Amino acid sequence: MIRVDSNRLIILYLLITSLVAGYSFPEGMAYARVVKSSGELCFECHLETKKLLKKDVLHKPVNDGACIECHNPHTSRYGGLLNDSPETLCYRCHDKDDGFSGSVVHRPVEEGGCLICHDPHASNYDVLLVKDKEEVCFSCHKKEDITDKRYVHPEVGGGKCMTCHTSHTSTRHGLLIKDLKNICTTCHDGKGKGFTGAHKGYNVTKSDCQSCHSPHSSDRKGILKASLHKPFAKGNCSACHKSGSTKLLLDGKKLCLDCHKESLKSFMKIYSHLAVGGGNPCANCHNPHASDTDHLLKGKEERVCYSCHGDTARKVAESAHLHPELEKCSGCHSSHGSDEISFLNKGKDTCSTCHETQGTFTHPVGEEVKDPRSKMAMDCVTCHGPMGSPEKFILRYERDKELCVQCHQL
Amino acid sequence: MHPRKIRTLVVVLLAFMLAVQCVVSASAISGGVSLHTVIVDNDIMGSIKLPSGIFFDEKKERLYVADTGNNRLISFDKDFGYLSELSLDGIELPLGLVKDSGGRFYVINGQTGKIVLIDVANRVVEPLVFKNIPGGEADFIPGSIAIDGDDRLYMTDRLNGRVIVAGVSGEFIREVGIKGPERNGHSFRDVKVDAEGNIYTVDTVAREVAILNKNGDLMTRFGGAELFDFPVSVAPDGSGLVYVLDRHKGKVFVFDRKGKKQFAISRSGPKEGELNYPSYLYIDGNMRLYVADANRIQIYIKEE
Repeated sequence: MIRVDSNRLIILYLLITSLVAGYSFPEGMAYARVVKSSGELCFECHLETKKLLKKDVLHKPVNDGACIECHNPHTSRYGGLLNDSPETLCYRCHDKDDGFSGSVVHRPVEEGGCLICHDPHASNYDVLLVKDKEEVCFSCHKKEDITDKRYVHPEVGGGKCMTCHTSHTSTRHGLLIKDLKNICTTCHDGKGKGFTGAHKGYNVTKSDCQSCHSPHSSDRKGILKASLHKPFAKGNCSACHKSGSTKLLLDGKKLCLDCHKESLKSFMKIYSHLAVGGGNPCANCHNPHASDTDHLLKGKEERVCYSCHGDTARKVAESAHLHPELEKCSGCHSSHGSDEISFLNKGKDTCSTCHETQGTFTHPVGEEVKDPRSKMAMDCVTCHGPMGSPEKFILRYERDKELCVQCHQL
Repeated sequence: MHPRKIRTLVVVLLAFMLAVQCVVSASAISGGVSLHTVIVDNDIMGSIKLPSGIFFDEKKERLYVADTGNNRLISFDKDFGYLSELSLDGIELPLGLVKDSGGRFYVINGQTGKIVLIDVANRVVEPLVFKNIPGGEADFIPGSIAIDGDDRLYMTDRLNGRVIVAGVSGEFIREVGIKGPERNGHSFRDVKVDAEGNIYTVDTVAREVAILNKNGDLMTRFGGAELFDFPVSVAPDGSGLVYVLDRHKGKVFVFDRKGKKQFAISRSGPKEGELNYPSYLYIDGNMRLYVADANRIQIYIKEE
């Protein structure tokens, strides 16, 4: 039997390969020569793409026939033979720091979904939009949800979203192009007779118009928000304001508590929201004029709560498993004050408000059952973290390995 | 490999893991601070529920706790053995308490928003009437209370985001707060005062600690979302360090007076030494650190 040394075989293979290569590629030409510009070459096969050249707006690399700016002609780890991941490819040319990163970022931009709004090759619309600019926003933001009320802001009805919003990034909530106190006066003349007349002579030019008006649509004339504070609804401005002035009759909180006397009691608890923020504590959460939410909240409940509870918002955002309906904070928590941990509405009975039977057939809970670690009465949150957890069933620990042994030592 | 060698290897490995475990556990309490005592419950005292205030009488060496959820004050001896409870009309939801040099207690009634004077020797229990507070007495709802060596009361005002300084007879001395553009919606949740009269405050929502001198001028402020999640209480020690209790992080962070972080104590959790739902922090003259947790008082000591 002939024994062949594998090392010798490899050396022989390399020698033959290099000889053949040296013969095939003369000096100065050790790679394949492209005989046509990449565009011409690509379009010989990609006829459908070639048709796109007839469109009004072409992406510069397409126009230049520089397909290889974005695509690799041979191989790629990304779909469409892209040179990079779809999330990062566009930023090779479009500087991310130049208008694509800010404190408030449009979700498609944040997630690298440029192609949700833009066509990478060609379009008949400005800036390579996939649809007419009056329609493109409504691809995600359902038009019927925004313009379903009786009175519609004309700009919104006409799909002119960019009158108020920017599409990529902004320093302002809602991707607004200006701050709330200045954005409306871009179009609305705050000194016009019609304007001052509609506001009963009060100078509201420096006010946040959205505190009373819905920016998109409403069933109330003047696109006023859905719920109105009683004096405001009656046009009785002098109930709170000095005549003809936006100044208040009393210090803000005194003014509120003057009518809402009973409300103060709801704050006189162990845990209270009374101290939040300084100034008028009521105005931290409530709008004194109008609101689109219950209880005249300044915005959606979740948003109002998270405006102070940023760490909770972060935890929720980062958790793999969440309690349903977390956006309805008041479903479990008191909003003014509570004598229970975490401002719970009903203390240890909060969970059983919805989970009626769990406490009766699962692990024993209640005052008689003590957590051996803390000596506190066991309840649902002993094992579950309702504000989010990396574990299934929002458990505090992995149920197969860690959970039970927290108390039941082997 | 020989079975004996394997066994030896396993034993060494287990010992190593145990050592690592011990180091990890010990790291929950750091900076030379260790858990000394946990006051939870006993047959006579019963259990503690949501305590919000702590005061240590240095002269009599007694610890007083506002057992808020049980509407009572409880006292302990120098070894933290239970002594007695005081439960009577007028101290509903006691949120905080201090004791003056004359032995009188000043307790925040959380239900009425009043300070209650308790003079045990003279059997007096009555609301402390404040005079000349800016905005009037109705415009003042105390949330936390501290006292200095000259018997001046320092009280956070839940309604107005300020600290009211008053004498023990209720005479208004001054109002302390961050004014002007620096205020930025500042609201004080807790207040303490050191031997020099410097005032230490914490703002939960702004996640900020502010230290003001005895005249009320802002000396230092530090904090932010990078440092804190939900700071609820602050306390200076006698050596120039500032301790900040963060409820959601379950930790006590320790800073120098300029706000430079030194170390952290404890971690979030239900076990002894860990912090479950802490509300209040107090440091006595012997550098003992008291934390009012959900149903217990945890006492840490600084090792020499």
